Amino acid sequence: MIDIIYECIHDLKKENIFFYYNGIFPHEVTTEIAEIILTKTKLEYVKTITRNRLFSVIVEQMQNMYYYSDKHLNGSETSAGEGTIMVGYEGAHYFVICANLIETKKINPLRKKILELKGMSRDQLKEYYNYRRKQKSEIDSKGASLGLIEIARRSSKPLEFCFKEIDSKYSFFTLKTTV
Amino acid sequence: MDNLFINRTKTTPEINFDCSHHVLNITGKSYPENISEFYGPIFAWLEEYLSLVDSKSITINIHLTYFNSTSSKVLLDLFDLLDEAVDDGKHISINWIYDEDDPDALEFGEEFQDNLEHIQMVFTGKAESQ
Repeated sequence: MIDIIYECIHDLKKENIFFYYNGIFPHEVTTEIAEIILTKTKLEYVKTITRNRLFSVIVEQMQNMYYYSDKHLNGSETSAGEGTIMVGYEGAHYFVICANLIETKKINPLRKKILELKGMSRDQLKEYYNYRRKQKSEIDSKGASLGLIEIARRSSKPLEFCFKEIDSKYSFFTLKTTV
Repeated sequence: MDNLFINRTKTTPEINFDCSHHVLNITGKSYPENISEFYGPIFAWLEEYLSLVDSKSITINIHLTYFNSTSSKVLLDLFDLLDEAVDDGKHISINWIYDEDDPDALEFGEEFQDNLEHIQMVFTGKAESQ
């Protein structure tokens, strides 16, 4: 197995991915990953605004996986969700990719939500964020359901996403945010 | 009534509410694991304080370098509480302190201001604190 590590690392490098984690996202893990990326970008003199946007997107995306991933440790639905996070460079920008399993029946509402956000201008996103912030949380929302709007607001390019059916029940959801 | 002091952690801000000098400071990052467990006692303290404070001038300094979307909802509740207190005759001034290199942080403060009817916040840009 160790003979393929060079190729694995090379493949990630080719995509300019400098951070990769796969596993559960309890609060402690989310905090440490966010701090690692913050420290790295501070040492590299990344502009404050970019650094803070990246930090925000990373935290919100990991919290979304914690709450909404349909793959859990030991299969217990009450435990932390599992998924993958990747962080990389794209020219002067950074990107964050998160991927996790979700039940295929949940795809349509999620797709609708993301497409809605993709169609909004910066001002519309701001208005929508402030409107939603005043609302009581949705019944199935474990966070404030503002997370995705926050991610879209902090992003410098429209969100990219895809779904891939894995088996009769689950699909693989990937979301890319560029700051 | 006792002062309220809560140490800063990686995911919760320092709370330094000094009721003898009427200066309340919130400083740091906010993305607690359990939002109501962290902010519940802070709101309870604040409600009691506001009921006792009568006509003293209160200064509130908020310097949050990061807050997640869930904390943002809580901050909105906090501002509502303070706005109502001012409507009720209390004297409260709020300083929104932000890193001057981060225009988003100023914008987030201005968005809270848009929801206030009785308070005019003061916005102060500061060189980044490490």
